[in-house]
Amino acid sequence: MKLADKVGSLLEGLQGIVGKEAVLFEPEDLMAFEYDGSIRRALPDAVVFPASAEEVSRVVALAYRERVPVVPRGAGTGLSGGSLAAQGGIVVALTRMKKILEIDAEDRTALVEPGVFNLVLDNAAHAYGLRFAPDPASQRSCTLGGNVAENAGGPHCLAYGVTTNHTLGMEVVLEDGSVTWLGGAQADIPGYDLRGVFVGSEGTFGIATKLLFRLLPMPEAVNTLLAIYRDLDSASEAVAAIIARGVVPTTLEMLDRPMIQAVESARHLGYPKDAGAVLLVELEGLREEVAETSRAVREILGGTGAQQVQAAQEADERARLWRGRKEALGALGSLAPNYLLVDGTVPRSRLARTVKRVQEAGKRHGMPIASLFHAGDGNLHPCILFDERVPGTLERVDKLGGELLRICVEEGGTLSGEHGIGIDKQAHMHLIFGDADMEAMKRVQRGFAPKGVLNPGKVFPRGAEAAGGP
Amino acid sequence: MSLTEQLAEALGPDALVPQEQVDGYAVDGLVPEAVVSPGTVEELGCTIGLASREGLSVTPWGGGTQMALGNPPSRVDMVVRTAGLDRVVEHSVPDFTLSVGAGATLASVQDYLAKEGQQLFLDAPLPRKATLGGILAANTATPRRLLYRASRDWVLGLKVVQADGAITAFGGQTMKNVSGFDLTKLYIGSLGTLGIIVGATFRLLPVPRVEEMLVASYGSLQAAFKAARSVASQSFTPQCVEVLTGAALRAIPEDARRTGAQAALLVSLAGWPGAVTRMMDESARLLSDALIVERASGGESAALWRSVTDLGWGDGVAPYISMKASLPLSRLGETVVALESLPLDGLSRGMVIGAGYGGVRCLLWGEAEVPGRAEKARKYAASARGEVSRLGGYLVVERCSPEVKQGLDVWGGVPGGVEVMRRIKKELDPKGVFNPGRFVEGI
Repeated sequence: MKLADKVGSLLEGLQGIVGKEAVLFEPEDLMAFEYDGSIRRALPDAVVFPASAEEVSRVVALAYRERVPVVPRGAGTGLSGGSLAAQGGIVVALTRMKKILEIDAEDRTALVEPGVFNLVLDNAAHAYGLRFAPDPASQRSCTLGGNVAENAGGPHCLAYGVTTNHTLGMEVVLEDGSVTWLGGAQADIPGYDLRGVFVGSEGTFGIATKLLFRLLPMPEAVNTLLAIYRDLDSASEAVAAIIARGVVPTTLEMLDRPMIQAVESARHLGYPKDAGAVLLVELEGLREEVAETSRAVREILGGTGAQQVQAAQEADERARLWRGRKEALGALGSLAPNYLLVDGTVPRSRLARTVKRVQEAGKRHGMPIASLFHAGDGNLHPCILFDERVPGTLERVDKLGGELLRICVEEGGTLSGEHGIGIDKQAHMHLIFGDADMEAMKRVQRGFAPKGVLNPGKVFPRGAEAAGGP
Repeated sequence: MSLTEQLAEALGPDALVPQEQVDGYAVDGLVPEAVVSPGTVEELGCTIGLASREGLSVTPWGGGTQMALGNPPSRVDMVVRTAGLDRVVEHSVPDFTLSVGAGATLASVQDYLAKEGQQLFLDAPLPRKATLGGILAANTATPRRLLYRASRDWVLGLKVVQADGAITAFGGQTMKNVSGFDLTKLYIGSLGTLGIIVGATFRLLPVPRVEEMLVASYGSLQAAFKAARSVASQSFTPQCVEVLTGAALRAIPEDARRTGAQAALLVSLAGWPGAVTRMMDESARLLSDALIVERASGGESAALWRSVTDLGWGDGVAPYISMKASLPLSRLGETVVALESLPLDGLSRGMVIGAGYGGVRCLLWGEAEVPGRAEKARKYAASARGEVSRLGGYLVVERCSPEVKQGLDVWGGVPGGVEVMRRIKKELDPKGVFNPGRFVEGI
């Protein structure tokens, strides 16, 4: 039986579990789920919206019996095609499961459903003087379940770490529909750290239906500094000097010249015309600590030739300094109709060199590239600018994207810092992993999902999936 | 050819530990047939390949400090040491990253890094013996986890020899990395049952500008614990907030506590000078119920932490059984009361309470002349586990004699995913080469 027909035969069963309105199968309804935040597309055969762990479990068990692929999906903001139904099948959209179940101020933990938006949890924690630290750029609209699946990062990871460092445990529906609990709030838990390896498994190990996170106390003081440089090398020098001084800022964000020009032409923030780099430094902690680290950072910014330095402690003033960084991607529309945001990571000290090679590659391919960086952790996001209406462009973009990743790997880095592999980068996995490495990963995947029904066709190079699939 | 002959041929005779020393590598009384100490990762891979082909079991061995952890193994055919893999592979000072062989001892690496003003987050008992690979495999954690969390948060990449001898690598050299599945997490704390960690890349920390310490003595455990919780609940995070009671007080020198003190609270603060001064002042203000409060810094404070971390591991009188409980913070107080009220039956008890992260190390001493001490220790452990699990925690017996282990599951239960754990073990180590029987659920 063809997959579409198989799914067709399950529709009644699915409707019986989640309700008639919570199952989509008409082609025009499915089209909205053909996309995520990447440039990839794949059409599912059905989309279901369960409202509880029990419904997720029953949907998954039903699909498992027929070996129909199940693809978990949060808000679909992912940038690697992770939530796309690469081989068709049933998309399980978790957006109805959006309750914050508990915030425990004494244990400093939060228990939430997977469909809660990242920023909603952070804001809810504020009421207790706490916060959720990982802050991906899409935090207004991305779900925590998706954050866990992709091990999302964000600009404040330098000091606080990425999603995995804040994920304590989860309730998981495994591929056969069974429900189990991994990890917990306790410091030492016997057994393999299944919670740790589940984070970043891109929806192929199971579907998390409850998530337990660590919350951190709100910082007493915050100081944001924005420095403008004539060139990227000087800004990079400042980054290195700050780290070498033993300062660990919460943020070290950077924009390169093309990115500054895009922001300036779209938003008119008053950056100088000859600005070659903008560096944003954020320091948090006790008042005394922020005063001391700010002094050190200011000294370094001056010593590395910053043209301008602005500082702000109050929230609205800080937001003003952040505007250029926050609106950078949106501003790219003024330069080209489309962009591909590449997510590479290199050791911090190789950043300046990597950027030069990235720019050269763009020139060689005749495609403009504007970049922003989480410079503190060596995570760079070159954006390849293009117009997809020009025939043959997507292939050229793909080729250049691949070359940029190769450059990152050659500089001692890796394929993805915070967006995941999905289908976007699966072809490049061999750049960093040998056969034995990938074989071990596949074995672990089979340990979680022996039949490979969950989100098949992801992460590994095509034709080499973990299990046979349906 | 005998096993030792095959090994000698493959690795050269120097890689074999002389037969007369093999007795020193017994695990829970099981003496291995051979002990191998390969000089390179490739040699180690080759050794495992050979063991796998011959159907032998392999027990990985770092510094040997944690060999009492785990259930008694079902077999110990070959012990494979990592001591030969002790070199720094790459230290990128500007990137604050270090790649190092798993056989390097913690102290040797910390000494090396200190020259650059850098440090590894890790702490462990007996750092001159404990190796980095062993610390990760056993997931050894110490008081500073309050500020720095666990080793899983600082490991960027691992090199692992698989059960068929293949050499694999996961993670990388960067802090942000979501390429492929994060298998580093799986190996940390797996007690060498899935593979042998042969190298690791760590994110480093700057050595703090200032480190200061408060030592307060209390007339009761309750008073010390209450103060500890208030110190740990401030808007800043100390490096450690630990309460010592009972026989654990021996870790603190006599002059730092008043005679008759029932408990001591240790608070360590680190960071920039101005911030540390304020944190010290604000923390000290919360210690008004103490009998006596002393300040320590520099070598004195380092020696104190060493003594607390090594408690039960050092050369002093070894505890008869050492247990580690982990709980949600909100249940810690009840747990401490419950553990305190369990009958001791002639044994003596000490506790080290991690008031900031929800951990209790509970140690029992029992002199040889205490009749039926093994049975008594087991009984205490079973009751303690009952209490801890009733309160939502886990209790692991981290160290005891083979005699006490008879009829005792040192791990207790796991939160869930038992079937997944079994399948992963079967997938990664289908022949059961690594450490058979020592881990949870018979793995």
